[in-house]
Amino acid sequence: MSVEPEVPIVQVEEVRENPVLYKIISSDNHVFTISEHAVKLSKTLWDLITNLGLTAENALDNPIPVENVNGKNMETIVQFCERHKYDEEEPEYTNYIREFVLPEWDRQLLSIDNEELFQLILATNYLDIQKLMDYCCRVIGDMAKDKTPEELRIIYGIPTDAEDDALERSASDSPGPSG
Amino acid sequence: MPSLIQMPDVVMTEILAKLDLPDVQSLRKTCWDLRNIIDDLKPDPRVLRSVIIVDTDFVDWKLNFDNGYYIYPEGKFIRLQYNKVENGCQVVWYRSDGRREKFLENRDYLEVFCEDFKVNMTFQQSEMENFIINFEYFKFVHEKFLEIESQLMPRLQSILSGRNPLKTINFSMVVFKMSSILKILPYLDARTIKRITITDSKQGPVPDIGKWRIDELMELAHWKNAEELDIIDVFVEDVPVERFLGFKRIYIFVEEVNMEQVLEWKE
Repeated sequence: MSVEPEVPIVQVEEVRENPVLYKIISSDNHVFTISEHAVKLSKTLWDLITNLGLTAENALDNPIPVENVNGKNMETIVQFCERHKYDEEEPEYTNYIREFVLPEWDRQLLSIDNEELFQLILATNYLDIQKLMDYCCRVIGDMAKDKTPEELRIIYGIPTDAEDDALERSASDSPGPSG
Repeated sequence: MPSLIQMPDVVMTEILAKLDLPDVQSLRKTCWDLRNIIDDLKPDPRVLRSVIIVDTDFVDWKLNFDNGYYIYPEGKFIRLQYNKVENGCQVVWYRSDGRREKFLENRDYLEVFCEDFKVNMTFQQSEMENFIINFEYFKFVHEKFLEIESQLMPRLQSILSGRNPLKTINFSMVVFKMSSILKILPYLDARTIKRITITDSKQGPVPDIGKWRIDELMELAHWKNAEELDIIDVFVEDVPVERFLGFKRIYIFVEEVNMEQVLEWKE
């Protein structure tokens, strides 16, 4: 009877988990810690970390202030990045429209009202997190599916033609092309 | 508080890329600001296949965006029909939740179709798999077909020539007049074309149309670049065989002697 060689059981997570943590301070002075793999999803933050020369030894002593993003958005962003830090890279984009359904976890995370979502998008844009941008825009885009212009105005809070005209008239006294 | 209109271009581009063509058109109609933003950003609808069928009293237009066959809004497939009716044009939009009809008084169905074609294809930049125009023909309404051809083809020609060339891998046209093809093919991107299919819908000679001459066709860069050529149900006149040597595969009816030559040369 042969004996199976004993292989040490190692949790995959343990091996992958990188002990380096970074500290981020939001515009309203909330402090967040984020792992190295997660923070790499933000091109802006990772560039900053590289430029500042932060290392495993000094990372926690040097919090990174992010003045354009408030604590609420930063919390969502940190959660998102931690969740997706080990994702494989997306396949190359083709001219086919990708069939894509947002994972349930992310749908829940992004179930916030439109104004909050647009704020999150601006923060995501600033921090340059491609995947979160893709997901947020997907949520925004899904709202438009098969809607009339009138419905879209309500959904996105777009001013009506009349409001627009009034704005335009007040903004400029010069005659239009027909006037 | 931020809203859609305040989104930077890079964000708007990303959002527009997630929308289906009807949704972009709908968004364009919400207000002037958004219309201008969309027209500046030119979101590519990424049409994969466009099939236009022309008959004496209707134009049927099908648009595919993926390889699924579910119709909008359940899927992405779009089918529109422009019917000639008394006093105007009836536009039918076939949808997964039933059909929607719209009556446009005193409008010509060919004109309405051309406007839609122009608007919906304006931002198409990506390469299509198929661009197909099927012009039906029946002998008993010969005059009628000549009239439609003379109205529709110059319009399509002016739309296609007024934009950067549409890219397609396969181009197929069913026509009863050679000249119809010359109103379309020269304005498609010659660099992407791999296969040209031309079919005669007359199915037999018609007095004042006669045999086809393809001299002008052979001068096009498209002819030189394409790898495959099918000329179906047509008797082509005076074709020098060496003009076909650029193709990997051809299918054509010519005078019998030439046909043998072609077969011999091209196996």
